[in-house]
Amino acid sequence: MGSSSSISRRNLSFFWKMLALDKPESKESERPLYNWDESPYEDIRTRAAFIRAKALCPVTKKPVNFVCPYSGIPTHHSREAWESDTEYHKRKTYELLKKVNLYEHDVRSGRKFDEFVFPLEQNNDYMVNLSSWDSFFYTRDFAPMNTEFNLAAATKVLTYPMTIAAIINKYSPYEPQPKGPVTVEGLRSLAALKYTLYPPYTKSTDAVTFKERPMRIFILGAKMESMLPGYVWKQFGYLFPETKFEIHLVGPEAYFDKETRSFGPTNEPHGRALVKRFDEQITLHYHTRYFHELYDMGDLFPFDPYLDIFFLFHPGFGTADSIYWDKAMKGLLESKCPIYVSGYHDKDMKREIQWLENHPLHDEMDVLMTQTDNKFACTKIDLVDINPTETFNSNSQLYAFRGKRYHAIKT
Amino acid sequence: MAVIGAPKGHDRYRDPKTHQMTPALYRVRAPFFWKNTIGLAICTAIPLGVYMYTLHMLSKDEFGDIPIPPISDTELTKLKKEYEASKNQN
Repeated sequence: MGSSSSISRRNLSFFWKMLALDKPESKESERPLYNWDESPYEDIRTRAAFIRAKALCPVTKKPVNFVCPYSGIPTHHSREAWESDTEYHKRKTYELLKKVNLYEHDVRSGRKFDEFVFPLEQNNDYMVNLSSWDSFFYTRDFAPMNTEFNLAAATKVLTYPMTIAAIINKYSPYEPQPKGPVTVEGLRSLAALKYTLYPPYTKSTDAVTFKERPMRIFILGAKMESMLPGYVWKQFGYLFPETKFEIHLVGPEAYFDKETRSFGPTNEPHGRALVKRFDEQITLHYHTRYFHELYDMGDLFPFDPYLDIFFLFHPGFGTADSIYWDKAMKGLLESKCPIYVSGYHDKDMKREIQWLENHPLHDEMDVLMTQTDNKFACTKIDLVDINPTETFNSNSQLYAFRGKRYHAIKT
Repeated sequence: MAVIGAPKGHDRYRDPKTHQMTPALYRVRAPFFWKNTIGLAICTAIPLGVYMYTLHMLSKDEFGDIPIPPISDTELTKLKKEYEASKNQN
């Protein structure tokens, strides 16, 4: 009897294996967890020192001086404060912080980064699935992202181009209301852009083409985005092989000088943009001024809702930059082009929307997309240095608005 | 250092020796797995059902109503002789 039951179990497990329901055991051994103060990498030790110098304990509001034993990151003032932080233990924040710690060490470990071996152009016969990171990587033929560390490294750079692509692509994963977040006004704006990206079929002999200039993507308040090299943006280009793109990075930190290793002005005469041509399809324009200055200069005119789109990745409307955003808002709304905003987490996004709602020009705004999770958010968790128990993922939330369009009235 | 060599195709999503799926492929497949399995069950159930129904209906038949043609005695002896002859030859 015993042997027959073991045979049936073996048959079942064979069947299971055939369906590949058994998950393969992770070959990854437990990674060493360093305390940030004793990390082998200097910049992590510096960061720990910065946290100790600037951050306040969430319980006692005194300087941080205790390293959480679960995560290896200085988080609280003392052991008593750490023990009494029930919220911290109930929500298992330390697990997120532990991930932050592991990710930071993984990035610096100098292992072989296969995830940055990017694929070339998409074969015409294969469709790209934009419903999630995993299906995107598979259908675009990236190297398999087997561990969360692979995913974290790859999504950190690809989140910016892919967030844009997922919004304007023909097979966008964001559904119109009521099934999804895109409003009727949002559909109007997207329809205009899609008219440019996917023009109606014309015989090549009729040389009437609508695109007399490349499509422009403005990224305002750029910082991380400006460090992305051209071949990362080219991954965006491969999804729209028929269209040419100009990517305009706007803001005082829009240009990262590789020689001095710092953000700074480009020193181009007459406030012109520094233009870097990656290839036929993609050019990068670095404007190291605020948007309202550029708008007043008028070099970027005319704006066309069929050809231009704005992205504000974590703008921080309510922070010290508030005054500049306030000035930029007039130009943004006048352009009538869609403006997409991203936030670090739910609370951050709500803060941004709150700022927009309290803005004097709020009556001039149409909502294009209600707040929604970004399908192409960065999966690498990071923490806020001045409040180490707060974690975030970049681009994790999306929202969109546009200057109101008035219908023509018969007189 | 953008692209080192041509992409190797989807084979990379399986173990080169055991041909087992990688964790990445599991995640890609996850949203489709149960729907596909249900689809497979339906698609196999239809021909299997037809087959089972046919077998069930046919096994009910007894063939009692089919007349067996009678054979005459002279014909029988002739056939027997032919059989014996062929047996001896071998």
